[in-house]
Amino acid sequence: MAERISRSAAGLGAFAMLAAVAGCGGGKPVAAADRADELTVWLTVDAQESWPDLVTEVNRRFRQTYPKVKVTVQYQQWTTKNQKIDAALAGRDVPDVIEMGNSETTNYIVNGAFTTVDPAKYDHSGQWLPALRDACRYEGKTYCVPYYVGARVGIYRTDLLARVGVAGAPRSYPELRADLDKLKAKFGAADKNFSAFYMPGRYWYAAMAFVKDAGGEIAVSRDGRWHGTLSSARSVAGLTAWKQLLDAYYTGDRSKDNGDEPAVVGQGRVGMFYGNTWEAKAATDSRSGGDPALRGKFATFAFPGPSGGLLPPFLGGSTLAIPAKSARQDLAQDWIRLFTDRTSQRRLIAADTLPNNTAQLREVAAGGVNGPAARAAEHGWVTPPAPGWTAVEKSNVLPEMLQDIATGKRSVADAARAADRRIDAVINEH
Amino acid sequence: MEQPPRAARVRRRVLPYLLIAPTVLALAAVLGYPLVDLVLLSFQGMTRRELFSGAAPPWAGLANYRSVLSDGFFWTVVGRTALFTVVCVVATMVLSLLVALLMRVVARGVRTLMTGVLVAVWAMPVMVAASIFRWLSDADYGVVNWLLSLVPGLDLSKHNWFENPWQGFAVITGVVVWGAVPFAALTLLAALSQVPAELAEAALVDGARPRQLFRHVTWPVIRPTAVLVTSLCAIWDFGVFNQIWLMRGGQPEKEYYLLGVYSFIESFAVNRYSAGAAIAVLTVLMLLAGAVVYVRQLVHLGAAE
Repeated sequence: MAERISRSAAGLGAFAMLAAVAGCGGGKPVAAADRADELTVWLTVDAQESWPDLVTEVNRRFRQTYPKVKVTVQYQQWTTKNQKIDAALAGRDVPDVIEMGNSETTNYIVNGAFTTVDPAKYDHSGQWLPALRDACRYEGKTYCVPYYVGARVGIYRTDLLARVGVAGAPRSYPELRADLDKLKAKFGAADKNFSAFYMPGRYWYAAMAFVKDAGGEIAVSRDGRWHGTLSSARSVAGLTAWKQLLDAYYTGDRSKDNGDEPAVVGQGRVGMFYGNTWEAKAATDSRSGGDPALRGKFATFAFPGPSGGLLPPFLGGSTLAIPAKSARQDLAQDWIRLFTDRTSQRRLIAADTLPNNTAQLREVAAGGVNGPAARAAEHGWVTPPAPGWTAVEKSNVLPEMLQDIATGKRSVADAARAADRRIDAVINEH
Repeated sequence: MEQPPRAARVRRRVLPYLLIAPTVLALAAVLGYPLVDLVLLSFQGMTRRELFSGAAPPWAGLANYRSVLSDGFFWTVVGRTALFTVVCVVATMVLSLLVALLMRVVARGVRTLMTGVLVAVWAMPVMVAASIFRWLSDADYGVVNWLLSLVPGLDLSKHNWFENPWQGFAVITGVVVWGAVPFAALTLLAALSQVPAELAEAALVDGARPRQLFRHVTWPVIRPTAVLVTSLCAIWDFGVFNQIWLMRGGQPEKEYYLLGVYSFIESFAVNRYSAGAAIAVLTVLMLLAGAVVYVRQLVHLGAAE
């Protein structure tokens, strides 16, 4: 079957070449204005929900150069996106631009799914955030273009904290714990469902931040091979600190992840939580299960870690890649160039998102909701750029380890050792 | 003008094959082709590189099977799947038989109502049923915990049913059995209507107790149907996927892997397409072994009639 695909792909390539030659009509290239074509772009729903006007605007600018190219933007859910991409990439009819999470790119690049891009053509490419730039680089070449990034911060209920006599956000870990103690004493006594700190057991982005804070790592590369290092002394110390926080201040279900965090926080029985800045807004939006009555009662802060510094946040971000099988790679490059240029990035900052480069990170208002996130982003981390990292993520090794720890089913060291074994089994596979 | 008898004979012999040809072709297209592809894949070393580039994957021989069969976890999953199947089938059959027997004796209106309810349950998509059971057993807001906590001395608030896989599987068994009972019960009800009333009356006149009546009069009549339904249920339950996938929110823990889920995760989460295919092929083989029993029963019953 595979052979058949390759033969038909070769046929398709030859056909495309013929078509191009025919289109050239005597060697003169078709002017951009006359080029009639179609461009398919796969973005995730974030763009549809949070910055739809940016998409419209970029398409308008793209039409000025290519009036006859029809751009179709399709929106994908994060949970099902990669399965659709895999299916599309295995076939012939591929989208021309794909949004990829920065922890997902390596496996696709290693397996030859994307074509290279020339960073020099993109704004601020010299100052791209390392978390995104590194996710796009492999053996000295660049395979995708950074799009945006998000960093998690602490978010607290200003009204509840005021009621226990605390004026501002905590600036150190002891201060944080003291504030949480006060919240717990005041509100937890009357309501056993009140969590001073919301930290569901499977929330791995949060737990791994504690691992990083303690100087630990999820996995490291030695002699070209990746190994899980969650059972190292430092990683275990980080996991233990996370468990202590959860034991002391969280009353909810420990086998949950943070998927419905805004809805739970919106119920009003949470004092503080660790999340993306947009989640504070979502917690007051009835469409996402939040409560509009809580509007104006949330503020963000740079989350202090047990080590004394800021808790290093996971830099979850997106990049844009062009499938190697796309027949319109030049159009795709032009579209991405517009979508990630400084004007577009400015629009993202206005939508409370962090830009793809350090230069514009400084444009984020320090006093705004995203100020703490911009500050924390400088200390951010990313998942190991190992070929099999997506397999680790998709087989839920980390959430399952954390659930075992959170529920007390296994000791921290035991659960971490088991997770390391599972990581070692798949992390080096392509 | 008489047709030569030879031609008629040929036509008579060919006609059945012509009539069944569309079915065979359709089956070959939608089942045969993927199945052949699956078997081929299980003997190859397919990775994403080949998937994305379209290059031919290297031949791996029996390597995939060797690694799967020598993995202790695979056998754990096989054992778990077998146990799950037995529990589900027994529960389904016992409940269905009780429901069917009850429907024979209740008033006509009640029987109509029961039939309606059963059909409604049968019509409910697995997706919806699994979501409802998941909400019912939710740790924080579930009705099950609230109800059970009303029992004096029992506090199940915030009890998580899926923390302990035995309890979790109890809930999953609940969904599966709940979904399977309507078909089994209605089929058995139909079989029960074949029991001649005179026969039952005669047995009662002869002093048979209800249990004896069931054992010697009712059961022999419905036995063939019961065997068929049992085999079908066993095949369904062995391949259960949706209920587990949906109730574990698309991220089943290792303790919740049954063969179907395990094969899917190996293929599409860990991207070991060929290992996943090998597991799927082994599952099909095990199911075939079950199907042989089913087909033998069919042949057996046909011969008995």
